[in-house]
Amino acid sequence: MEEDNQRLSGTEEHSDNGLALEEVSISNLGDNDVCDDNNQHKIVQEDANEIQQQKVDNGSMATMYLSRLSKIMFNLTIAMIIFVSSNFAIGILGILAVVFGFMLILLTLGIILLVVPGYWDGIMSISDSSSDLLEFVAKALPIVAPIGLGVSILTLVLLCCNKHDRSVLRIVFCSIFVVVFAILNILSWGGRI
Amino acid sequence: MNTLSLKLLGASRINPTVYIDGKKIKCKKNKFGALECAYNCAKSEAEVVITRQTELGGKLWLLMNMIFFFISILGILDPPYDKVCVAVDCKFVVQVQGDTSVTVKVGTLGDSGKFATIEGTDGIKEISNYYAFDKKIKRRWRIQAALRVILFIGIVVGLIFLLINK
Repeated sequence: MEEDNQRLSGTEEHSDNGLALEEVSISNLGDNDVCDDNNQHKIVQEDANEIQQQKVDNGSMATMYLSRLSKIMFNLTIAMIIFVSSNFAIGILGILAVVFGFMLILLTLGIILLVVPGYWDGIMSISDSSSDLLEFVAKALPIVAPIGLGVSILTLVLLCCNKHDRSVLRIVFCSIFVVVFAILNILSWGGRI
Repeated sequence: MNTLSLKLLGASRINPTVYIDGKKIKCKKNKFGALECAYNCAKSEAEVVITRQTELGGKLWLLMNMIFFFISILGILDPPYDKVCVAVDCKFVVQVQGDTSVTVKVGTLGDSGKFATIEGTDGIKEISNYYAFDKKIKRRWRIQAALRVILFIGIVVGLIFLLINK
């Protein structure tokens, strides 16, 4: 009982586990904690709210922070991949908009041109704006591609070092992203993009 | 060599940290969502400690939180922080003879109370087995959430203002 009260009050440390454990805060259950024969603690609600004892393992904290950083970097890599692939996506969407608009004219036997004034101009403006976007993305690509390659390589290293919750799926995807960015860089340096 | 197989049922949602004889043991999630780990011990008994550590429990929680907030482009790419704010203290000694299996069944967690039901061999001596609502972590979670929202709105409004006046 004495030992348990000592532990509950946060004065005991896991000194035998060889890890740098640190007490963050100390709280005391007081006299309201009840221990039965099986040494089981049944904590009264009011006292439970007072418990803030938590031992922090610095190594675990570091791995948790590393895990979070690797996830953020992975998300950043995905964002960069989306940006880079938007180059192709915008082009395809522009073409699709024109094709869809043309198909609608054929399906409605040209009636849509009479019903909707300025229909064809609208389709053409979509195509023009998509080409403007394409120009912007194409200009940014030589800057984004090397940054993306660096970030993806760093992410891959962080993901491999992550011991907290290593995800094989993330590592596989990140490896693919590294290859994609490497190809984009080669194409960019070669002046193909 | 004695082997202790530990299975934690219903514990994956709180992401517990397991120490056996003072060594941190990595638990793997099986296809049913239970956490499993095996430990080879030379002695005939093993001390199992199940605790819970969160990122907001560290000393540098606010600094790290802010660093991650800015790295993740104003928190947009940052995975959400764990909302489960319970402190767990489960400690028991188990007699290990040959292959010994111990199952820790974690029930529904309310504000506080008994953490889990420990089943397995007869030679299990529970030292502590309880959990409690961690007010400190909850407070920190609220502080970081509020700070992130304020910073996000402030920076976005500031950027818009700068762009307009450019």
